[in-house]
Amino acid sequence: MAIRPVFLFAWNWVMIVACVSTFVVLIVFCAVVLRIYRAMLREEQWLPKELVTAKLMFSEQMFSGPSHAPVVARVDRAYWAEDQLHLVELKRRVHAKIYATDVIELSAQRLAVHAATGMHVSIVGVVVVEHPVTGRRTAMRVKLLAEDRVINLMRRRDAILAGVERPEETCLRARCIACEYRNECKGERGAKVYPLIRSTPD
Amino acid sequence: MGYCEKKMLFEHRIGRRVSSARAQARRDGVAAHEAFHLEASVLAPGVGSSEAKPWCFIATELFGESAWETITLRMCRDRILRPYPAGRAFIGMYYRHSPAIARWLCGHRRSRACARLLLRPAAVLLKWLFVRYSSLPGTGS
Repeated sequence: MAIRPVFLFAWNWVMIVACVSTFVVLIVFCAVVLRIYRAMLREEQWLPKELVTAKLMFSEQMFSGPSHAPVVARVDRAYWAEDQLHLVELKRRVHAKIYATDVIELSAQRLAVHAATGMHVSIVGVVVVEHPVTGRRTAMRVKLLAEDRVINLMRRRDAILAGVERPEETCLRARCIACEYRNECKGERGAKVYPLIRSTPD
Repeated sequence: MGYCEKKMLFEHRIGRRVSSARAQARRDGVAAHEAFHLEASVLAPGVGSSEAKPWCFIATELFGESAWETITLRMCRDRILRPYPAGRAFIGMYYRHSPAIARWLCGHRRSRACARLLLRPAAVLLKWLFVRYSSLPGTGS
């Protein structure tokens, strides 16, 4: 007769464990389904209209430029549509903004891709800005620089590094304040002429 | 130039200096690019890339790269899952999490045996399905 309470006790525990594990499995299953559903909704929705039906040709592919413009570029994505390649560059930023560096980067990529593949590359590139927290992507079209302008920029860079040309400063104050070379820059100019950080005393 | 030319010159003269915040931002950027590439690999398996293509990590870890189980599971991925948005979303999620699971399985013999026990019947069933219904999506017949 003493077996019955023991059996009931064990049975209660078995039921508790079964309920808890079913609950856990159910939660995991729901989480997986939810994530799949969210990923499905997000899939390629950020693409501009003209690239929705385009063929994805390259992803994270390295290209080398022509001999007269030695540039190595890594293309985030390139789509084939309307008989030309469209370059897509991914950026991770809070604000959906395009900077001049993005344009230069995509223009250099255009030069390298054209030289390496011989394919016609669109003069309009796409910058995709991904929000760091929400992961929301915003695509923005941008007109790229012509080949001669990219080559001029490269020549200017070489001239600055060789000490032939005088370097210019950025006009963005925030970038100047956060710069890792701020002390050297300040020392070179002298404390008097530094209009960008006048309002932030050290 | 959109970039600070003076900074470019200092980088050239002194060497590249990276603050901890910028180093963190760079790591986050690399992770975002990896995820972006992963999505591209799932969407278009034949896409040209300098990066390595993702693998069937768990199956490769359990059965080996050229085992029939691994090949069957790869076929399942390409023919059953990839044609549909839900399937692609599942593949993307699998690629994100499976390397960690495969690494964990690498050091746990019993768990490996359990995982093999679970995956092998699935592989047998899928292989039978592929032989029985050769007109599954993506088979082209």
